[in-house]
Amino acid sequence: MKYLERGKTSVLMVMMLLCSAWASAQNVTLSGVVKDKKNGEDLIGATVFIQGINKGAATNLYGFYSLSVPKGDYTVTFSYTGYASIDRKVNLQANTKVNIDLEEATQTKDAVEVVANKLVDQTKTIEMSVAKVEMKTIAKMPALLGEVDLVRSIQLLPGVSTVGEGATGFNVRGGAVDQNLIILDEAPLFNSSHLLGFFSIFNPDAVRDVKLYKGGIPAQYGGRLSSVLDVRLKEGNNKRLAVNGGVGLIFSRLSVEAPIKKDKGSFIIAGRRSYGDLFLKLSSDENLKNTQLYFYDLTAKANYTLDERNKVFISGYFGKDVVGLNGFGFNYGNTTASARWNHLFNDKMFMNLTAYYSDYSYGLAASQERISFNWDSRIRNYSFKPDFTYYANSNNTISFGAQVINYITNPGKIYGTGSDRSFERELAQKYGTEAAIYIANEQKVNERLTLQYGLRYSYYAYLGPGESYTLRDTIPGVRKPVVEPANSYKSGEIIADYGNLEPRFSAKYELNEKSSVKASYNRMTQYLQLVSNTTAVTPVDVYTLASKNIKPQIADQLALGYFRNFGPDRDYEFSIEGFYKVFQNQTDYVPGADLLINEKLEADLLFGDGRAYGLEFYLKKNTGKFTGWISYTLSRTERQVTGLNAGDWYPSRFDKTHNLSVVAMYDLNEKWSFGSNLQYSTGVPLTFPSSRFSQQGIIVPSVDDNKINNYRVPYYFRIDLSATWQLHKRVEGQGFWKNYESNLVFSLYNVLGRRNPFGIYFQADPKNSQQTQAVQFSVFGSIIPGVTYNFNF
Amino acid sequence: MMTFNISYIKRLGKLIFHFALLACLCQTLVSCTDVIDPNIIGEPSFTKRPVIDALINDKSDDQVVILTWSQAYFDNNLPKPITGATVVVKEKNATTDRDLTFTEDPNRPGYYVYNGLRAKELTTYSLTINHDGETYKAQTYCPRRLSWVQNPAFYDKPMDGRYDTLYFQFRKGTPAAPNDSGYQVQLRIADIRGLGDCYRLLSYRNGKLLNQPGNLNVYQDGPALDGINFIPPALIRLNPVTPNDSAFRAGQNVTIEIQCIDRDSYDYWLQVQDQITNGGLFAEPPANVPCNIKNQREGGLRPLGWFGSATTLTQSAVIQPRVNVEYPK
Repeated sequence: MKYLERGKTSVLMVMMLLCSAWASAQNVTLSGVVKDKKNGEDLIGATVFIQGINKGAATNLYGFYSLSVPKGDYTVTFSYTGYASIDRKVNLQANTKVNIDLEEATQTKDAVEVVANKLVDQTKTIEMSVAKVEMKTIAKMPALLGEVDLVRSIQLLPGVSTVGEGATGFNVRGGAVDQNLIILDEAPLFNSSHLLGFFSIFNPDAVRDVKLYKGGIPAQYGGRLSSVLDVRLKEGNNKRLAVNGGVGLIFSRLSVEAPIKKDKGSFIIAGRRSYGDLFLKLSSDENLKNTQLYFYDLTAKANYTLDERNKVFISGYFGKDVVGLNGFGFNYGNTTASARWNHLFNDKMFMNLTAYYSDYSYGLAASQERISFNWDSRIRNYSFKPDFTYYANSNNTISFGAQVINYITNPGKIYGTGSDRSFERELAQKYGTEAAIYIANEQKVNERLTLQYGLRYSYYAYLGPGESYTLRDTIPGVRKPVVEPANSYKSGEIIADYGNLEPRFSAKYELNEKSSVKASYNRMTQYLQLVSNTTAVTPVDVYTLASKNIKPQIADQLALGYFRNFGPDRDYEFSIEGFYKVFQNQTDYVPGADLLINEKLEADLLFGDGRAYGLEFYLKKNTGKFTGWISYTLSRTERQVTGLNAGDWYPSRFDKTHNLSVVAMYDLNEKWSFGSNLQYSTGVPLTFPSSRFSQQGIIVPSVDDNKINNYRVPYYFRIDLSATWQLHKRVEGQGFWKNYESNLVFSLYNVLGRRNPFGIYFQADPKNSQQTQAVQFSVFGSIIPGVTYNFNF
Repeated sequence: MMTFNISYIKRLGKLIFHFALLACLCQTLVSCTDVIDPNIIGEPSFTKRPVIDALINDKSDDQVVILTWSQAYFDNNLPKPITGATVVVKEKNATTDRDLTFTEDPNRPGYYVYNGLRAKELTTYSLTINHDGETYKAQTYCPRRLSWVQNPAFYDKPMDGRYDTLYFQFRKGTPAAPNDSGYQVQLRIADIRGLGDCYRLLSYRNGKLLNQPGNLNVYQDGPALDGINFIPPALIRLNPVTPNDSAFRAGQNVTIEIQCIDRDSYDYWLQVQDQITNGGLFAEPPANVPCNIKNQREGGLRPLGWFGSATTLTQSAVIQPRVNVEYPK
């Protein structure tokens, strides 16, 4: 209860605001679902706008909308970006349901009908610090080896960066890779990358919608400090059988979608497999032949509409990466499954109930002659999550809900055989439970001002069976002495628990038709973290739960932004956002920390504060033959940890002062379109050994005063080009080829062939071990060409 | 409560990971490394510190303690010696307790030598250095001695029926150097029964120490490894690091030296190994290795280096083409 008292005032405030929201006039409700006419997919963020009274709403993640207005005759406009809008005359005397199918606009035919989406326009919505890329846009951008990739595309948006090419994951506004909540149909993923970080695990053919929240995070999300990457899978065509596929240099994709029962239910199943290893098998070189290097993933989803009020979904993902040579190797992969039930209690009350399971595991293996050795680690979690939306009236939309997550981690298990014995050792499993409740309201105060305020309370318990060590104080910055023996806890016993109130607030004020200012504040709490002290996290890093010695991480973020649309059709978007973020209980490591299979890992951890601040500029052109954006971020990310860097602030591993991306796409004609990316960023910081000494003939580096990240890697600069050649286009009434579409995508990655530094390391000269040198490591040293054939029918 | 020591196993895991990763990057042939001019990033300032480099061993009667100054990381000159220091080593065990004063070698500045000392097992050695008004002290323990015992159960009977301590396997190239065919040395020796034994392994080609960072090799037992023959792949480090060094060839004399070291020394070398073989996609930030030498004055100049002791075991063999070769491919 002590946690609750702390936030009493804010609870009261939210309650009062909510009560005022409930007190509404006698109105009737217009509700329904907006779908895509072609394939029956629900449209997320389609707008419903009632002419004359200037009231509107956007569809939620399940295509549902609800709007309360006084009785009367109205013209209602349904619209969605890139789709032809529909005007419908509605006589509203009682609660009415209107389901609408919108049709995709083709550039030539419906150009006039494509209206700027007035309600989801960036100056009108309350959302700020949200990064969105359309899947269509992602498909046009130049990609590494021609393979369209979601996470790599997101890295070109303001506030998002990566420590380097091939690094797993991404960093948002000074947050670490593990501070992003990555959810696929509600189920979290613990590693978003294939082949280390070259490709993301999302199959672009199966993804419908992607949204990245960098700030102003709604109360329904929690559990990570820095961002939420909400990825929604396609539902599957419920009109007809459809096939999508692609053949590339690295891997091929195939997806099949079809109705289970027309207009009632459908499914999609999509798979990818890389085949570099199949080529290697053809090699005459023994070593190449024995190399294993591949990944695969399978994404599937099915939905079924039971009746007007009930719809169910199940989704799953299964992926694996395998790397190996001559008996040495490692593999890793995610598995997720989620089941959801949409229920409409009435025209105003929408519920989504989710149950999910998510599992990330990795393994190392070695076998030589008669000895084998294996090492496995794993994190699993399952959760139950009801979310409700109450469309109280046209000015208030209240959302509330709860979530319970159970975590089970296996930090490490070693087993194997020698020729005369086998062995098996395992670090004890760890258990944690996270629970949260939230309530929030989006309130239109007047024509110009909209507020979104909410409160989330999260509670976490670190549970037995298990052991907990007491750590003694020592000189800051060195391994802490452990008091033996450890305290033992019985199954279900609480070893440590924490509760946190997380206020969320956003406001939008429209200055005029074309511009608005927005502000937001959010507090986020995180109860688990990835233990990693390398520049790029590795697939074999281990997730660790908060415990008695590891306090939950907390971040507060304040953001302020100016948004403006301009141009004849408002087709240019411009925004500037500033953010300031304060982190508590950030983890760092004692020099020479031992992070793998260490039951006393906590003794090697150091805790400190963090701060990140910056300015993000974004200019985007949405329509026409020429589209694209310029994104520039000026920011700083720092840490302060007692015992490191003499207690002074130091830049964190992913700090980049400047980060510039320019993305341009040009549709020349029906046959050809072109794309280009330009990326420039400041190099990441690194620790430089200042001096050296000789020990038994070996040169040993030394870092004076344990300085950290005292130097920087040189800057990063890259240009990519791509060209898409449309081979077949869908033509009405032409036999077999009627629905067949295909294109060839040619790409040149790193056109300048620049050896962009990933890192610099310090070593003895291989030719003379008494001499020292600095070596720059580049992941790509040349132009990487690519070609991909894509088709669908 | 898990009692077994897993740090060796962990290194193994790390080794597997980095090895597999390296192989994977080599195969894809896209990553590259360039030696760069350190001036691009500029050289940080540092404090010149005294460095102590000493290993009391039993290879001869001559023992040496080397005192130098640390130097800038990219200063490839020989380190500056510390002269005019007094160096005393105390040897203490159940039967002995004596102080030995080392004298400065007039021909080799910074070298302090003593004739008439060989490291003994189960003995504590303490070092005291006085220089420029500062006193530095260190202590090390020389653990029990290893002998040439094999545990035949560990390997099935070799084809020729013999159990050689050193044997060689002909390998057609290595992943890193596919064209460099040669012999790989393998060692067959059992760990001492009972837990807690640590070793450092060195190898020499025609009397010359293999001294690439990839050759720094330490080994530790554990419940799964206690009393059994040393297991590969740690023994890989006994071999030349190709392609920087050429593989062992027929006719060459290979000497393996095993030093029995205490746990602290093992940890020290392990951390040195981490520091000098750090690189690539998942490089860890450089960090200071431990030091067992303390300046006795609070706030005095912190020294660098290590004072160790070890009993040693050596074995040599000349590589005979196809004679002492086992497990031919």
